[in-house]
Amino acid sequence: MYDIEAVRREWIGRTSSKRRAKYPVEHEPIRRHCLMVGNENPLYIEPGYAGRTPCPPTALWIFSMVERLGPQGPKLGKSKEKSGGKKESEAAFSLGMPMIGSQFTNMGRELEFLLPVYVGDHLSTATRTADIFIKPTRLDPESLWIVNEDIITNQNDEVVCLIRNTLMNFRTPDELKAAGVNPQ
Amino acid sequence: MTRTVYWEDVKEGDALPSYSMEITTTLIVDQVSGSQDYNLMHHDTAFARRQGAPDAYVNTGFIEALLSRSLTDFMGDTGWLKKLKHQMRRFNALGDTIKVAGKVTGKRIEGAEHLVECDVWIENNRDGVSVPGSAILRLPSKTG
Repeated sequence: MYDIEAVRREWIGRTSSKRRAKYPVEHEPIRRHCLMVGNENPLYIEPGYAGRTPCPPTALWIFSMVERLGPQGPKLGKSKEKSGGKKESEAAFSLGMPMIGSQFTNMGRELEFLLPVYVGDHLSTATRTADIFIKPTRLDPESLWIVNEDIITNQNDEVVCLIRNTLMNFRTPDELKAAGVNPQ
Repeated sequence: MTRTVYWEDVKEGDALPSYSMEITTTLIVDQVSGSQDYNLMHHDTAFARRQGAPDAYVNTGFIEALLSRSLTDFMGDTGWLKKLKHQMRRFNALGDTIKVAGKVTGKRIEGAEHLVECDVWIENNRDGVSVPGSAILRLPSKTG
């Protein structure tokens, strides 16, 4: 049985240490970020167009990751059993909080951009858990909603961006079946 | 050549640049490369369907980059995207045709800042608006 009140008491307000990204802001990941949505803005993809090349605002997140995700990075959604039937996620952004299921999806974000970030800057992130609650969805009648706040700083310790992310954790159909729950 | 868009030249109701694209397997590959998000739900059809999605669906990083493209193209080289907010309400999945669009909903001056408020959204051929959002831009003023 997942004890939502205990999780709320233990985790809301908890803040991670500040983690420095492994890599600085670089041209090539910016080019790929722009390419995926057909963004040909020379401000971002032509080095020298505007003096220093700014990072597209929505690419900041990539350069704030402590480790790049992917086959060599943290495995999103991988869980291991803990005592009492709880699961402890290894997902980087969950801070190790107990989860209900093995799956995650983002439900929305609020981003506030405070200062420009350029190629060569080096970002760090601290994450605070702002809220946790259970709200049913068609995927899982006990979907777990987690609201995290990322504070992203540059190499001068200036806050460049704030991100409020709403993440949903849920069980696979097999996990629901194992728990004796019928999906809606 | 720098492209500057002044606050005074923007008016309520102005449309933001709009773009459409089909979510193909090539675009799915570009999405993983451009977002560095290797979650299986965003590129593995069988896995995504087992989780209840219609197919592999584009991730948050892709959605934000698409919204941002429309906003940054609109605001020119000297504008500033101050805030962006969106909700992921429906899947945008492999095979869908998606469109990003937006419009100016208001203007105001706050302290020394000349601000423009926008609605911005993504819609697809299956569900209509799948990602509603809003943004605040700061633009330069002709008054300095």
